[in-house]
Amino acid sequence: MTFTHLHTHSNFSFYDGAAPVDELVQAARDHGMSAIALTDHNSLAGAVRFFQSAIEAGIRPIIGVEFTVEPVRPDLLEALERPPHIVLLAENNEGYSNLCRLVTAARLGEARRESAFSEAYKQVDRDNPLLRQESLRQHSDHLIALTACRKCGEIPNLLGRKLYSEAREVAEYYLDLFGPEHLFIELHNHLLPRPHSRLRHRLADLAARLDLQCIATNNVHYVRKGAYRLQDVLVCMGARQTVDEPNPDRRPNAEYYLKSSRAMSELFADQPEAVENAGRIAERCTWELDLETFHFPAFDMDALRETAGVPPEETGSRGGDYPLPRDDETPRSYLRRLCEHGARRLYGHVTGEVRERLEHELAIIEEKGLSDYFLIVWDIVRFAREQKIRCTGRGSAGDSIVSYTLGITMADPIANDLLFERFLNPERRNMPDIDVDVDARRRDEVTKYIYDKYGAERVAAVCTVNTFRARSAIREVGKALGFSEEEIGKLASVFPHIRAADIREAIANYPEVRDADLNVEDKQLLLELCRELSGFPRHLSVHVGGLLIGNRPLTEMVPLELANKGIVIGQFDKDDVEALGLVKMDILGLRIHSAIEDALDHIERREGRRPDLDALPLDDEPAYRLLRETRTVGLFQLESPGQRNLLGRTQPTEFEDIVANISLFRPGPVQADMITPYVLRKHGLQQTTYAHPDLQPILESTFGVVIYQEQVLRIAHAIGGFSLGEADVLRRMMTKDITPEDLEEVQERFMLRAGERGISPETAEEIFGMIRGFAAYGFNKAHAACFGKISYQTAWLKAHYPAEFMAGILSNQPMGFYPPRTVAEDAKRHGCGILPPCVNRSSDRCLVEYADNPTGDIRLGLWMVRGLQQRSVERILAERERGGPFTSLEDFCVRTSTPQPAVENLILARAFAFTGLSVQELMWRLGALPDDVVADRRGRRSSPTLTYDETDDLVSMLPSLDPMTEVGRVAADLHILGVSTTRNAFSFWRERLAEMGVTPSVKLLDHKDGDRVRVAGIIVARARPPTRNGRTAIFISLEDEYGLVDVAVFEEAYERCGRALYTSPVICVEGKLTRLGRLDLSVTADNVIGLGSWRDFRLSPVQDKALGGAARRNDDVLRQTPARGGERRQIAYY
Amino acid sequence: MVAMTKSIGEPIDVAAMRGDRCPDVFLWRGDRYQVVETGGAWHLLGRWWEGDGERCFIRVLTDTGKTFDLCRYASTEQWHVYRVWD
Repeated sequence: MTFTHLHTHSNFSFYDGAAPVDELVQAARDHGMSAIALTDHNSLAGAVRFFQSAIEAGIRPIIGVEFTVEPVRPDLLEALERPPHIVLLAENNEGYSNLCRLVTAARLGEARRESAFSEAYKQVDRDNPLLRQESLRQHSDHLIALTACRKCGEIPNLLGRKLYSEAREVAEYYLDLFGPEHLFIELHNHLLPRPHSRLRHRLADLAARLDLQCIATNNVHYVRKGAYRLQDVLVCMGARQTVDEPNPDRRPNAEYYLKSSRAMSELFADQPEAVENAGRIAERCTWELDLETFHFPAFDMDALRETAGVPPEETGSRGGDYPLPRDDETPRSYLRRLCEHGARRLYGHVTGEVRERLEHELAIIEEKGLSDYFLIVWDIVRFAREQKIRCTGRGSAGDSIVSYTLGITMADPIANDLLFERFLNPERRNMPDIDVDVDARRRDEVTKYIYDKYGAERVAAVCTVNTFRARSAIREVGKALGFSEEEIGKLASVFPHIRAADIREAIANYPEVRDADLNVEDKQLLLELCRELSGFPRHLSVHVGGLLIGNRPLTEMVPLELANKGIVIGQFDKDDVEALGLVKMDILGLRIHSAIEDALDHIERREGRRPDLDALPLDDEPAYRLLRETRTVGLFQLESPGQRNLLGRTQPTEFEDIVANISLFRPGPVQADMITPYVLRKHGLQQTTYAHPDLQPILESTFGVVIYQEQVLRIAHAIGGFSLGEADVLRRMMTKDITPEDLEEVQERFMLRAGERGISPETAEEIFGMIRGFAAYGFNKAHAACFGKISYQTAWLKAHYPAEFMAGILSNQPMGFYPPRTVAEDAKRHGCGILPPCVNRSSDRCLVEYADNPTGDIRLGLWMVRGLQQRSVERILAERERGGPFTSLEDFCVRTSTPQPAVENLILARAFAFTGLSVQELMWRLGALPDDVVADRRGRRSSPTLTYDETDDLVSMLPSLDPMTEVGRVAADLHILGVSTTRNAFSFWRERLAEMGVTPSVKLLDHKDGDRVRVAGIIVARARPPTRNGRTAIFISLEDEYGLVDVAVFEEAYERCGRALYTSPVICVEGKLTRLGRLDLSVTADNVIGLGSWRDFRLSPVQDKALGGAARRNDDVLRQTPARGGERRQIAYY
Repeated sequence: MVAMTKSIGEPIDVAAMRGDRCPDVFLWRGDRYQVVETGGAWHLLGRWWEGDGERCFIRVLTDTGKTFDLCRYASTEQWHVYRVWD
């Protein structure tokens, strides 16, 4: 019998374990062991990948947890110095369920019994999980307990302190709880000096007295001996200490690695039975994860009937237009009726192709037993719609007519030529994945509905495992190694967001890093440890959208814990959850939905009606013109620099073009350069040919270029005679690293079947090559169509209601590619003015005013004012509602108690322009007003009554100051609001740039292809997509006074001037103009010159001088004037 | 009463080994010592971040009646006397 490691930590024991799960398993296998356990601290987060990895390696996985547990003798806690540990191993699947329950209990405490929206979660101590003895007593069945390590196990710790009878008492307690077959005294031999080495014998004595068995473990914390450094640093990082500081949790030597059976036998030569027992226990453990069964709840039709029977005012719903389930109706037949109902609404009939397709899909859904699942998703979408929460399905669910007729997705799968098998493959056993995007502001309402409906104990958020990357690794390891904050900050900030493993490569090859003068000679150890740390999990957080819904309490299958924001998460990430067959629903908050809702609100306010975007015909010429002219800032999926460039080339005229554009601007197609033939053929500049006439109907719409995964399926079906399900399996194989043997086998089958259909071997081979080439690059057309629908809606809104739409975009920042400044400038170019916020007119969000402009001017919302907290905004709006408009600055201060710094910012943003006073006058007043009028930083005033005296000298004695300069105005706007309400900030640079020979973006149209030009602006977007040849290509959007100009920087230029791209916000680019279409302009850079920092941008040298002069003069005046508080600096500066 | 002498870092010449982990005969300050019994062995880490490696210790009883704690760096073969108990 071989030895088995039963006490083993992976790097999911955060800041303690230094062993990746798969390396542990691999090492155990390499040592010829037949099993290995994983026992992380209070966590099962590594369990699923551990199980999968062990099964793959052909060894038996044993799952356990090392719990921090309430001491049996709480009165001795002080002597113990910390809550003790106990290692529990699952004997079988019931034991595993108990582990899940115990992890949940340790992590959530009493709060686990509460509703997910309860206050009880505020009491949870996330950083210090503790398992109560009461919980342990409730769920101790089928668990094998080990007494843990010398310092942390309660028994060894007490023995080490010579508290013999107390140790025996604790052992007897656990003996009583687990029984003699399930409690083992754990022995270590880490080659420690005396007296620690004696402990092992004392433990063995105690075991003998109680007739207990001993077991040898190595309390493994890393795989190979050499990893002790990383483990030691991890402990220091966790304790926020440096390696120079002592810490009892640090290991005294490097013996905590995964040792071989022989090494363990030698260490326990005097206690061989302890080594043998480890193997015996391993044989008793039969844990297996059930990876085959789907676990999801039955759809509750009674509940739906009951809800529907309640008047809408009680449920808050407006009542749906859907048939209710009949008495005793099965989910199958109800699903069918709902689909037919939806089909009649969408197609006007349920005949012909619609009927055929519905029957086909329903048959597969029924066969797979997924009717309930579709009803669950439908019910969530139904709820959202009834609550008027904007919501759309995304992803491959769009391939299904069932999803479409249920109202889950919005793109017609028949009209868009979508394939159900891409979504739900009858040949594969997979859980369909339906993702739903909802208005980001109202996502909580939807999740609350799910929690309420299925019960808090059956719903939890999926987790995301956050891992160490270059920057985080440098920061944390650097700190532990004792580097100064400054040094670490400098080092970390030069790296782009790359893996920690790639740090050295970046230093060698990335110009922005290479040329940064990093002085890495004395940081070799740091870099080496960062490399070792690369990809280690760091903490768990809430997945953006994933929710788990179980058919029984989740704690039986999934350990739960509390993430930040007070949200309960499962310790399994999305891959784990999928492997477990749990139902995961992605309910994603989508800000564009919020922006669209805002825009519709503005339109309704103006016109008294709300356009039905879902019913828009897809042929609106102004919307397509907007796309062709690449005026797409703010548009969903179509606004990025590369996408705008592509729009200029493709010149879309119909919905299909939008879908193609979304699909083409992806790393794959860009890498494979599928864009050029597509564009050339679309404009008739290259002939479209087909290898076989059967390909024509499949590829006609994309001019012979394979863009979509659905096309790959159709080709394999039409030419290779594969069923659509088989074709999808083929496609999936090709997207992964297919082995040459598999490829040959598939190709043979393809050729054979093609031959049976009378296709020549040469043609069949050519077509197979085409599938092989494009399978990996193809995009899911259903997903593109779902997104394309939203893109089209945003284009329509911007084309017809620019002010309303852009107000919506500005109100929902941050979103999309561009900063608010760029969005606002774009709005100005579309005829909308930007009005400063006003305490009497602004809402929290942006509004649209029509008094001076029929297109509409955007009145900025109070949320945009820097430093103004949400609760201040709420108080201002409530007070205005209650007591009417504010009459003066003093009236505002007294009625709202807004903190002084926020009032200053409101003044500078001109939110008090209605008073008729200048900014200087208002600032002076604010500084001179007494404390019982103006609230302090925390919003407190010394007295609630208005006591100031109008004749107060200070208030009335404003000195004569220079007025605010124009540049000061813009600088203040940008600083406080993030957008300029007056001039474009770059207009101040006009002369300087002209002197430099820079061509303004609008004048580029006067140049021809190949001309050498200089352009300049601030970098507003930067993308670095992977390229076909692996060489660097960086796409940049520069914004100048007049608009955007796109710049491409390729390897050679990047090598020379890459650093300027990443260090200077404002750059000047020299290069060659490329014009492919009438409006498709871009500059290929030869040289990049950094023009300076943000501050230089705000205040160009000329203006800086003027402003500086004014500031100095004002400062001189103020110095001779009695002034209080912070007003002097502010008035003088601006 | 046991007196203790610290002799950190004094190298010894090992004339013969007991297995591969422990000296059997060694010379220290001109005297020859034959190991008659070994006690515990232990490993300790130094300031590894400053280049200090792991040290391996072993306690030995010699034919002279003296007990030594011998040590060497894991990366070298050179043994030292760490402590002497007499």
